[in-house]
Amino acid sequence: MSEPINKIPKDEELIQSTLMGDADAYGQLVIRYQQRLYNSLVQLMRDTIEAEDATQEAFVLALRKLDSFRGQSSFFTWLYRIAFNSAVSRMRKKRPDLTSHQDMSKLEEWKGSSSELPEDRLNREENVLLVQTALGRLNEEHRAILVLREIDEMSYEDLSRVLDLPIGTVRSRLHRARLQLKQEIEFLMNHPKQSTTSSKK
Amino acid sequence: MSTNWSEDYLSGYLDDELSATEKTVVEERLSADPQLLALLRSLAEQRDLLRAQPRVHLQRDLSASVLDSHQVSLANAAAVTDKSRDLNMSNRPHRSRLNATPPEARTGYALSQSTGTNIQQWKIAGSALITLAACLLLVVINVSSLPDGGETRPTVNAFLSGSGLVDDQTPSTSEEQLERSAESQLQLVDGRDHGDILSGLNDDRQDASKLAETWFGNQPETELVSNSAAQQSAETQPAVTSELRSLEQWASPIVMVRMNPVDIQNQWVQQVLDELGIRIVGNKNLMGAHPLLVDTTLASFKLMLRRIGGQQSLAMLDPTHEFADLSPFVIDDHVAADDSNDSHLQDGIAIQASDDLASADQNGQAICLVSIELPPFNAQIVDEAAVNQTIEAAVGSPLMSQQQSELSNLRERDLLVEPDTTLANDDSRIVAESDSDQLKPKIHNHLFETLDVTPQDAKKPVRSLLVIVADERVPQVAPSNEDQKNRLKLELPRMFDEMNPSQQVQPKSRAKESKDQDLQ
Repeated sequence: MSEPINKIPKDEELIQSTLMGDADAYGQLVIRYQQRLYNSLVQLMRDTIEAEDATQEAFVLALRKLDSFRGQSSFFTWLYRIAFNSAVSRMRKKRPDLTSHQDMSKLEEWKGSSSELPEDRLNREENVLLVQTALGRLNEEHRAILVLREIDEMSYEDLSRVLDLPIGTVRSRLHRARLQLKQEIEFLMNHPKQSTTSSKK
Repeated sequence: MSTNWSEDYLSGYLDDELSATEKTVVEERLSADPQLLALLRSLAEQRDLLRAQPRVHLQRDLSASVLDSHQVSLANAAAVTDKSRDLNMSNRPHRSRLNATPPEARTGYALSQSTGTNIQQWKIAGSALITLAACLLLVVINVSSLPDGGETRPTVNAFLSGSGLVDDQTPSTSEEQLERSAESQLQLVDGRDHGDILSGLNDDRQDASKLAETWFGNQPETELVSNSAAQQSAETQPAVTSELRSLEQWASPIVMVRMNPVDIQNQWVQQVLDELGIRIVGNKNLMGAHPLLVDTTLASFKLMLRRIGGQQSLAMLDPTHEFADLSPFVIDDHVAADDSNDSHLQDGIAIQASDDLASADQNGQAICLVSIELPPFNAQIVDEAAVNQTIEAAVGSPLMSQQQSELSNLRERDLLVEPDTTLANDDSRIVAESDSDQLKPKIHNHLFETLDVTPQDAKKPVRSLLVIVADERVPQVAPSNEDQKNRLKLELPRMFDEMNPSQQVQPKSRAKESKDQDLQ
């Protein structure tokens, strides 16, 4: 290998290599983005198992369609759009009211570190519980756009691509989602017991 | 850009996604309105709270399993391809080839083909459903040369040539065009009525494969549909399709164009359509929709065209400012309490009146789309008051009046599900799940009664439909590729002419046409 060891290939290079038949190149893309995608899908789908399946499915689909990727957006945006459609399809098949929800706030990954002060940890976990419960009470449409914007920090342009919406609609939907989340958080703060019960439909 | 105040700007301001002018507007508002400032601060805090959420980590490396799954899917696709070809050979004299390159070649992994099994048959059906569903329909109408009267409705068979569902030994011109364009960036599809496709279906589980083949003529995708999903679709399909066969009478000229989704959103496509005098009147995102939703959506567009048949001009709806809330994603979802402009009656009739339509009404015309859907979706959301309010907000439009009567009709037929207060929760729009089995026959009856036309209506001219199918597999047209853009301009009128000679599409600008021909 004549290339420096520490050279990190760009997405475009990995995509090109993949299209040339280098499966390992695509493997690198998977490793590069799987955590980010998985995290977003967990937030969106509220189910770690489904999210993992959807993540894998998205990468497989993206591989199949890789030749149609024109580089107009970042690879992750393009991948996310595939994943988003896949996730929505899965959620529709498995309606939340017909399945058992995972309590997102109880995920081990979200527990605080041992070095954290007990008070801080308690506050943080309460906040996580509050926000996660509130997110779970949103409809899918609003939850999706909030996750993409606030957690994935996507620009409106990328949101537009992923959600297939004009930017004006992105802005208005995002605003409605924020207002709805605000209402839900306020409701939960006034009704603390609701935070520990299952989310509404 | 408009600087009219909208509270949405607050979010745009928070995200630094506003123009300088819009920022100024927001800042002026903020300085004058302490409550707005408080709201902004509150939203900022909420944003920080969300961003502070811990990340969830995937405990394993997916790369190996992704590559393995891909290999397996390619093997299945290869088997499906063989099976599909067999089906085509036995059912269709001519096959529309839209994607000449098989997926395995495109991704660079060659795989051996496996033998056909029952599972593969399921995959054929399932993958076909997905292939069919993965489209974005833009229905546009040719209003440039509307005849004032007379029967212009072409026969069904006129659109069946090349579809393989009738014995037509001669390739249609459309199909020849298709073959010619198989390797081009802009892919044209032979025009055909959806009802014709439905009429060719039978109880065979491979119907769905035929559907996909006739619509898209390419290799079905297999990964997304589980065997159970395919089985469910195959079980529900026959009963419904037998009813949908009555849609054959709705045969109208349909020209289909496959384009990259990015191109559809691009200005040049609208410019071409505008030059051709083709106005966009309906836009529905059917990405991932159930095939029956595709069927009935198309039918509902036809219904809409029937109803506006006598009008000479239509409001132009920005195709990018779509009927987003009609997307299956939303239809299958609960309507947010603050979505006061939309109302959905799920699992049956979706009633839509959006901001777009209201603004269109300011121009003197409004189109209200009744989207009729079929089960299996089973959630019910009704806010009759909101529906009425929306309709009343658009008074003056005859179409809105029709919508009003539509609503009354639904109520009379007991298709409106009254809110269940016990389940209403704090969101009054969310009501009880209905008994889907009980509702289904009512929906079906209503669907076909709604789609039925009077003899007078049948004599009205039906204008050509252009259905633009968004397909990511179609390469995007480069911005500088004028040839491709001009090609659309030249091909579309020709395809319309072939579908319906009495409704010729002529570019508005003869000079432009000459220029195009020179370029060609």
